[in-house]
Amino acid sequence: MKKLLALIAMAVIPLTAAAHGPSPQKVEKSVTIKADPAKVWALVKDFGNMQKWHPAVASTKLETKDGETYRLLTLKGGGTIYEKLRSVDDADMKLKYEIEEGVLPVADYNSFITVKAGPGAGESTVTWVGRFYRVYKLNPPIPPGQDDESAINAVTGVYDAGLANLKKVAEGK
Amino acid sequence: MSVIDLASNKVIASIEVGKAPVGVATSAALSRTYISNVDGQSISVIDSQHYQVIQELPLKGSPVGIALSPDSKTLYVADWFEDKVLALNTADLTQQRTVSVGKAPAGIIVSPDGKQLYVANRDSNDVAIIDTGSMQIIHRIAVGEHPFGLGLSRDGKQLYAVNVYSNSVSMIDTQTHQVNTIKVGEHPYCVTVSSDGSRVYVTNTQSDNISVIDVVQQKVISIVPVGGYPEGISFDHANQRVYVANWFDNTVSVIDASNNKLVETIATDKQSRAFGQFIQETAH
Repeated sequence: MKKLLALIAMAVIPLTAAAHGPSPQKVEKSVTIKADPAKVWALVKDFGNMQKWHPAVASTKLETKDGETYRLLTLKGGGTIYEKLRSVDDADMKLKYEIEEGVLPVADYNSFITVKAGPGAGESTVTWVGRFYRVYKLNPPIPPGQDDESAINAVTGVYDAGLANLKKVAEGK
Repeated sequence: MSVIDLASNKVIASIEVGKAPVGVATSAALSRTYISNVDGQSISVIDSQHYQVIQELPLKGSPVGIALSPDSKTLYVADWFEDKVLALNTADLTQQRTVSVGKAPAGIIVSPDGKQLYVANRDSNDVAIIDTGSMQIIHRIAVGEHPFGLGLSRDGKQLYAVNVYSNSVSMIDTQTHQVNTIKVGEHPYCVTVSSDGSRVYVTNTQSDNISVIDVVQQKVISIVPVGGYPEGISFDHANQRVYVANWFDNTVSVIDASNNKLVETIATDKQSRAFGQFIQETAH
């Protein structure tokens, strides 16, 4: 949680939609949950209710614009993240979304979350994968907080905290 | 860098290169493979016979696109941040010529006669044609938004530029410079062309699939699901297969070009990209 709170306390950094840099970063995290995949998927796919399972999210506001679905996450530590739903696939239990703008020190962030049955009977494995760039896209020197490490740490914090709490919520603890 | 044997479709070697490798150019005649390391700010020169790095050439900027002339005498490198293209003599890599191009040059490819170099200028939304003798820009062709990968038919008559933000491919007649645009999937990156030039294959990074375009009909005739975030794509002319590097899944997908079916998925090292022509054809 420490990492997550630290990043939430940061000032809002505008995302530059103009350019993706040459070197994308990846964070991939998984958790095994002792709950039925259908139950876990119901939580994950509920795009307008992320506060039900992510401990950093205070509230979620769902909106539709030009046929596309967006959510505005208001974070407990202050700040917001505005996200666009890309797809929800019930057959594969896979949700894809991207960040439009927000407090995370990342650029061109897109991500998916999948729920799979197993490894044990009645268990689920949730995997959260993100692809993004650092905020500063030009050659070094890179301003503090806009480098690859800051981006990776922030996303790792979000995923770790979210998956740990998703497990708690889904297991009913 | 993972080396895949196309006969067995197995990874047969893993080679440490510079930081954040992205581009590939390979020459059977030289037994050399060149890798652009965008964060490492260098080119790794690999002995393709022994799978060893024999030189790490530092560069001032950040190399992305990389391509060889058909005679393998010149290596072209697009420098993303310095808005330049370098021409390096493969016999002596310290001999370098440069040309300033548009903003953020990405994909590059050389005409079959070696006389022209095509450069996709991502942030200028155009393709520059460079005369390789003089290293001067002779034409600029407006394409879609954010052109990244380039492909060229083997006869050199059709050039393809992938427009990342427009979700389209620009088909450019290299004689008349006429442009036709074809819609593809989400956030496309790279393109390759079949041996006879009748089919074009485009990676749709955010649809996790490949658009197969029929050139005569000028439309997408098939969509082939591959791995997550497909980036690099190259046509294997010897076996009539298409190879696709999937960044999210750490795999390479193999497609049979005769029926556009996925035939195999090869596990690789992490975050496969392979920007450029990454299949080394057998020396004749």
